[in-house]
Amino acid sequence: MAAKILIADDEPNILLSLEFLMKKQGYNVLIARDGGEAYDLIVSEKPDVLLLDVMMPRMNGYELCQFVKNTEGYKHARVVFLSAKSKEADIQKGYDAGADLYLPKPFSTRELVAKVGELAAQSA
Amino acid sequence: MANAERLLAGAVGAASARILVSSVAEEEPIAVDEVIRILKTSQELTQVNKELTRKSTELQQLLERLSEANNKLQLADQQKDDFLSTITHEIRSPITSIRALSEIMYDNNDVNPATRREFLGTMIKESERLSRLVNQVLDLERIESGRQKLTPIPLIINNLIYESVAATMPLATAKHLTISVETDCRELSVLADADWLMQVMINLIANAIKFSTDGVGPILVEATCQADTCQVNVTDHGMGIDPQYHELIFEKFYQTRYTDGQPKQAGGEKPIGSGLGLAISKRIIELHGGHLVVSSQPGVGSTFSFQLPLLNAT
Repeated sequence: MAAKILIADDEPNILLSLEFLMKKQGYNVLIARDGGEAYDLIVSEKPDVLLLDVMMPRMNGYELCQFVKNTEGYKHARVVFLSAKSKEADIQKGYDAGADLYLPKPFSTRELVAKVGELAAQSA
Repeated sequence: MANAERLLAGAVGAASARILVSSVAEEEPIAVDEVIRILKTSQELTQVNKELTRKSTELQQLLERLSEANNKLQLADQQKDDFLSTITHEIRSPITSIRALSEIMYDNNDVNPATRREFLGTMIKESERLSRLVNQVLDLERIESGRQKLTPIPLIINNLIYESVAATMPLATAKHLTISVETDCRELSVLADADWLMQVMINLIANAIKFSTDGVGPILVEATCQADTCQVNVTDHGMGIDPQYHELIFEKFYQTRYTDGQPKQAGGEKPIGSGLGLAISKRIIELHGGHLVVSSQPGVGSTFSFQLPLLNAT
C-alpha cells in the first residue's frame, strides 16, 4: 500500500508543487493549509511522512512534530521540515523538536523526492 | 584644639583653619589682611565646590542621555534584524514556488497542458510578487531615510479620487464589487506630490477590495472639503479589524507575522501582498502633514481616513 504523506503549508503555491510531486511518486497525499488542519489530519489519518512548514497559523511545525514524536501510535511517522527559516539556530530547533530532516526553502525538488522515498521506506 | 580646627576646616578649608587656630592658640595677633585672605579663599572654595556639584549633575544627566541613546540604538538594531529576517522570508517563499514548479516542468515532459498553464501562471504571479516586494522595500527605504523629497504641486482632489478609482476598477470588477464616489470638493486642491498621493489612494482602495468578500460592496470613496481641510475616507464592508490591531496594521510586515486569531483575509487564506503598503502610505501622508487612521468594527467593515490642508482655503 502506498505511503500516506501529509503536506502542511500556508502558502497555496507551495502546496501546489508539493502535491504534484508527491502524487507523481504514487503516494497517498493529504493537504493542510494551516497547523490546525494538519493536526486534525494527523490524528484522523496517521500519515507516514509529514512535510511541514514551520511558521503556520494556529499550530506551528515544531508543535506538530513534538506531538507526533511524543505520542504513542504516531511515533512511526517521519517528519521533514520545509522552512524559509534557514539560520543554524532555526535548523537546530527543528532537529531538537525531533525532525528527521530539515530542508531550508528554496529546496531542490529532486533531493526532496529522494529523501521522502527513504523516509517512507523507514516508516513502513 | 584639634576639634576646633576640624570644625573650622568645614567652613573655611583645612589650610585656613590651621592658620586661624594656631594664631588663637599661640595668642598671636592676626593681621586683618590675613583674615580677609582666609575669608576670600574660603569663598573661592565654596564657589569651586558649587561649580563641581553643578558639573557633576550635568555629567549625570549626560550619562542618562547617553544610556537612553544607547538603548534606542539597540532597539533600532533589533528592528533592522527583524526587518531583514522578514524580508528574507518574504523573498524565499515565492522563490521556492518558482524553483519547484520550474523543476517539475523541466523533469516531467508529460505534465498535461492545463496543469502546465496553471504552473506557469503561478510562476508569473510569484515573479510579480517578488518585483513588488523589491519596489516597496526601496520606496520605504527612500522615505524613511529622508532621501525621498516630495514634489508638491496643486492637485485637484476630485481628479485624484476619480483617477485612483479608475486604476483600481479592474480589481473591483474581478471580485464583483462596485466603487461609489461621494465628493463635495468641486475644483478644490491640496498641495501634494501627485505620484505619491496616488499611490496612497490606490493602496487604500486595493486593500478595501482585497479584504472584502466577493460581491459584498460597495467600496465607498469619500472626499469632504470643510473650512481649510480636506478629508478622504475609503470604506469597505469587509471583515473588519479588531481594535487591538488598529495600530499594528501600520507596522511593516504586520500582516505576515501571524499568530492565532490575527486578522486574515476573507476565506481564511494568507493575505496577498508585501505587508508594506500601509506602512508606506502612512509615512507618505505624514510627509504631507497629515495622519492616516483607521476606524473599524469586526464583521462590519473598515474606514481608512486622512486629512490634508486645502490649498487657498477661504
